[in-house]
Amino acid sequence: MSHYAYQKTGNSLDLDVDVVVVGSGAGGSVVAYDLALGGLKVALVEAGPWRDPKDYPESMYGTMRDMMDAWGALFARGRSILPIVQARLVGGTTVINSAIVVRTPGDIFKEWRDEHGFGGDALAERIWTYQDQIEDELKVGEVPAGSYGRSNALAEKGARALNLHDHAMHRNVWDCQGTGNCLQGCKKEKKQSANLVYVPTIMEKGGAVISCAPVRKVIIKDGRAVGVTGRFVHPQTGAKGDTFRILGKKAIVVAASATQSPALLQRSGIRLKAMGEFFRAHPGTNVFGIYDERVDMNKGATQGWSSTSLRESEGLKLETLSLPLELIAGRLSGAGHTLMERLQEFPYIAMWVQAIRADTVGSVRTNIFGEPVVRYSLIPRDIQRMRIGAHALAKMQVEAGAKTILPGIQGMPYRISPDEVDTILDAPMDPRNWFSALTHLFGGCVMGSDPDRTVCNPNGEVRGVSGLIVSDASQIPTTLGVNPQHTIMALSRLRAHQIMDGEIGQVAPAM
Amino acid sequence: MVWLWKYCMGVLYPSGGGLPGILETGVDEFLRDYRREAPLLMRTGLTLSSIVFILTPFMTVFIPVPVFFLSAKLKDRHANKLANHPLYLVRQTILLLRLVAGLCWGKHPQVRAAMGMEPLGEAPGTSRGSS
Repeated sequence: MSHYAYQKTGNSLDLDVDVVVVGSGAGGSVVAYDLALGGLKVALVEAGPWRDPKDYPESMYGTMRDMMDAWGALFARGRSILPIVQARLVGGTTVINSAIVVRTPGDIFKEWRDEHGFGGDALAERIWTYQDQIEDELKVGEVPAGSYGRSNALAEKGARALNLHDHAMHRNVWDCQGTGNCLQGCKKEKKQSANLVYVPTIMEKGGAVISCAPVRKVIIKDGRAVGVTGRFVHPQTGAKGDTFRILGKKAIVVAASATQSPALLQRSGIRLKAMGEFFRAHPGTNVFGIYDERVDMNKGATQGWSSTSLRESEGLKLETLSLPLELIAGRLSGAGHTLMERLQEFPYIAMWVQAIRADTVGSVRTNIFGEPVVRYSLIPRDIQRMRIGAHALAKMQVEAGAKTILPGIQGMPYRISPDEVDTILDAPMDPRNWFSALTHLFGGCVMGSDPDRTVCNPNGEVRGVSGLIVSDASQIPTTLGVNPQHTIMALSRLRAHQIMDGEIGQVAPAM
Repeated sequence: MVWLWKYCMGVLYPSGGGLPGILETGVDEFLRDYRREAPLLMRTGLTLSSIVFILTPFMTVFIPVPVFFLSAKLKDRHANKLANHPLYLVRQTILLLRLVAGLCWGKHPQVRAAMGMEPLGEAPGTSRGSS
């Protein structure tokens, strides 16, 4: 079959397939790939365009324009405003993430079993088996020494001094060249993102890829999901094109992200008590260290070091993150000549971040246009976690030799000396004082055994609608405390096998 | 509104200390592209951010006139105080202006050269067509 990009008025698209998959990121690409390999006729429908590595921008302006959902202007609203990092192109966020691969921790399956009525050892075994396969497919390996970069090396040094170094970073990057461009998409084609690994195979196996095609609604007839519909959007001008309608005989799989999937189901008229509820995330903040020698953090892997040694005790994940100069310019505080003086230090800065396994619970609703509105207000317990994480990062910076620490917290001094890092433990508790972003999102269409507290049953099937399956982070009822890509992919493989085995999917209408 | 955006960004990112200011980094072309390409929400946000920047010297340097009438030194002090303002919403409003200006300033070859960094490649904006 084919790739259908933007279709102008007068070129409406109608397709009939076995399974329609909405969203081509970590969840949708794997489901569609497995179903296509299994001989089913698949249509993979993506809201954004299909950009090949030659199309990737190198600037952050280009990245926001060409790759981000809503130009990166999607926010969670609450006491503070938290940017949400999500991509909108074929391959989804796998194109612009740092390619970190972490297996689903064993305690997660116990938590799912004890608190949500599914999971346990049997699911763990199945998921880990799939994760073995996915690691082979994505050529997962350790960051090579030659592309480690100084920021990552300093982080490891600082962490080792504090006994916080617990594992080598694994990423779905093959033969990394250390260009530091993970966030803009890897033009060297080293990152094994879904658009390079899974999507081409879907087409080779006869599947259709429909890009520039934001799905407006799932078509539901007599309690059965039978297709999706929407209108093409031009990738450059944003102009509306003609409509598309794609029918799926066996199943409609929604994998549009933890913000877009609940919004799509709400637009489709599905009314469930838990719809859009239990939205969770790993909010992140950063700490800068300034060194005497150049760090050049944009040389080397964008995120080449991480630690989960504080995951169980404090709910923290520590890691490096090399933001490009364009974003740092907006991130350092101050303006005018003060800002310009601070920017001169950029080559000497190492930026390290924490992601917290937050207890905060938010929601995803739709506005009058049907677009997602995310509400999320960090609770004091999570701010306390941030204090502990920022303190740990600052101590690592000191151990690695930083001469100055920039905590990046409003209400604290711009700079603190190495012997002042303990003051971070008394940092303001108001979330508005913390510069934070949401990177890993969960929930909104959560699965579980309690019909009153879930949107999906434990197999990801939307309650009350036959043949409608959720297969992305929105089904996950908890945070993970690790990067979720690997878990999302493995759950999606599970869903694909369940569809092929007839365990889930369309129930034949009553005669 | 390009002139207003440019004026504000010029105060936020002046030249100094061996680094070019934003007015030396092709900001006119950048803002023309931004006006053409950015979604309405982003353009409106930038305009609101600029208006707040222009009208709030009374909150920072305690002089009730628009920024245009301040001396260079007072403009600089206003910009810095606004960026660190204790009121969250004020601070956030200016953040958008700073972020968008940073996208222009930080990608310019002259700035990158001053930092000892390689120039960036293109952002072609292209995508795969139907096949």
